[in-house]
Amino acid sequence: MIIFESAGMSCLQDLGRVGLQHLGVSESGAMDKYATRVANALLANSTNAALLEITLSGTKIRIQKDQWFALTGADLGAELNGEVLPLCQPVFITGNSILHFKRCIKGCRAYLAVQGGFAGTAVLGSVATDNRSELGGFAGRWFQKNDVLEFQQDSHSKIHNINWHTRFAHPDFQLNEPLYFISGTHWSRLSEKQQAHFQQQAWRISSQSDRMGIRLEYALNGEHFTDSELSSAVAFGSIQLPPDNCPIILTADRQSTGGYPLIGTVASVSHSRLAQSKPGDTLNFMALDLELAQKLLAQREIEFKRWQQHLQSWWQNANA
Amino acid sequence: MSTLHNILAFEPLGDCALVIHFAKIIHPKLNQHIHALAKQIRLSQPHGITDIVPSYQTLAVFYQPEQLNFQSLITLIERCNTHTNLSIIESRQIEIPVCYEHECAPDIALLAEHCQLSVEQVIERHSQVDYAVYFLGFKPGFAYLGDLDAKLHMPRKATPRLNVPAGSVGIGGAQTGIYPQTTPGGWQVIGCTPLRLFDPNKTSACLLQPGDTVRFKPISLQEFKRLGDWQ
Repeated sequence: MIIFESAGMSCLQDLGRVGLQHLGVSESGAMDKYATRVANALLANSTNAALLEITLSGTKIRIQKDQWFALTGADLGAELNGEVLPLCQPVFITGNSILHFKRCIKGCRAYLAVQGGFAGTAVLGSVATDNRSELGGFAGRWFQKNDVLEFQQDSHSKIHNINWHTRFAHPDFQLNEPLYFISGTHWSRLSEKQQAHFQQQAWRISSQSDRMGIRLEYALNGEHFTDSELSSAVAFGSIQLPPDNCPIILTADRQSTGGYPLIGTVASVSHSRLAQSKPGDTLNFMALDLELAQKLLAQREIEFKRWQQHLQSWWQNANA
Repeated sequence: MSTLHNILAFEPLGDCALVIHFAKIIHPKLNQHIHALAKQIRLSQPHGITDIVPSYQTLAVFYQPEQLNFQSLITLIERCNTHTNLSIIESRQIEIPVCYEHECAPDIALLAEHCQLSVEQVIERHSQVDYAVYFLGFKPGFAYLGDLDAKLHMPRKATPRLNVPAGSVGIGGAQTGIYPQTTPGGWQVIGCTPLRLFDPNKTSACLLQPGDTVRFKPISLQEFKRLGDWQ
């Protein structure tokens, strides 16, 4: 088990409540779902095992029992008993260790997985914390100082160190890469100038951003849409344009439907990049056609699955 | 087939969902067709489809592109759209007991005055109509209901309340609805139901489902208290 000596901004997550948007239930789940899957794959966990999402710096936990861990996503300057904890590889941590997330070096959300997953009660099929609707997580809320979180299982591992690195050894997002997006309902109603402006502007992320949506600080030049829209389904990465013309990108804790004009939706391969953006960072957008976006996603998925299977057999052999 | 049922456009909603657009109107007949289409898609081939989300005039289909590609999904939907018939939707009739008495209805007198009706007339007009559940959204279990009597329209409160109790029945503009959870909210509260609209621990977590028909049944405060011990 672990004890939060300082909770910072941390919560329990998994891949979320998929398939319940038609009941008005937010999908929630990890903001960076790819980093979540990488963390669980490194430990041969089930894809949907519960793990910690740690946002920005300040979280400090005491690990009370021996177990294998993996840390992915952002580089938050994690130190284990004062030494740098490597990202993206399994690490055996012995009981009575202190893990401290000290400063934002790259990105803003780190994922800490434990072998077998953290304990949590699934609500509507997921342990994901949705604090707006008080569902899942640790009593429906984010962690607080002195909370105690159990592991699903004790370690029976026969090995305590590894002698390999994976090619996923670095966080899987490039901060200089544009966010690829697929145009939506209102894109064709923007002027050519507006479409160009949207893709040329270096957009700064507002401090008003959270797990529900990432708000951008500037307004898109030119006219805004005046006709009112009827609510319709929205997805992770949907880019809305409210009347003040400052775009909002909807993320994990978004409501299931939205009524603002929709100019596009961020492609799946750019979701990590989006989830790792913090207030003050800048973002660029680049339109991508659907076919190419899906091709890039398919390629990534094939590689990921191959790598995941490889790790599964490695763990099986190691503990045989 | 009437033009009401014609698909106007298919549009990607990112790379893992698409939106089917119908005529841009709010009409129970169109919405029923959307529910029937959703059902037909579910029955025909759910493999690779992760969610089907209706709204007033669109239906969004979430899918896994590695299982199902955009073009074959469109073909599937078009085939389903020509084969829908309303008999496949179950269209449940749900009666919702509502206490319209002052203790449960802080804004009913205000609304009556605004609408130039008596409180009794407000209750009558609100409770003697069938409402269609157009779709669920905003909050878990929150149903967008249609259509509210035109005489009962009233703008939202200028300053939203910080806490509207779960079960509150409100009117906001041309809409009426029930708050599934205690939440801040700006609707005029004209009653409260003791029923639980959303219970995540139940297999069927939401009392109302898209496509249901709802009717409010006035109950006394006494009955409200008797039925409402879950709160």
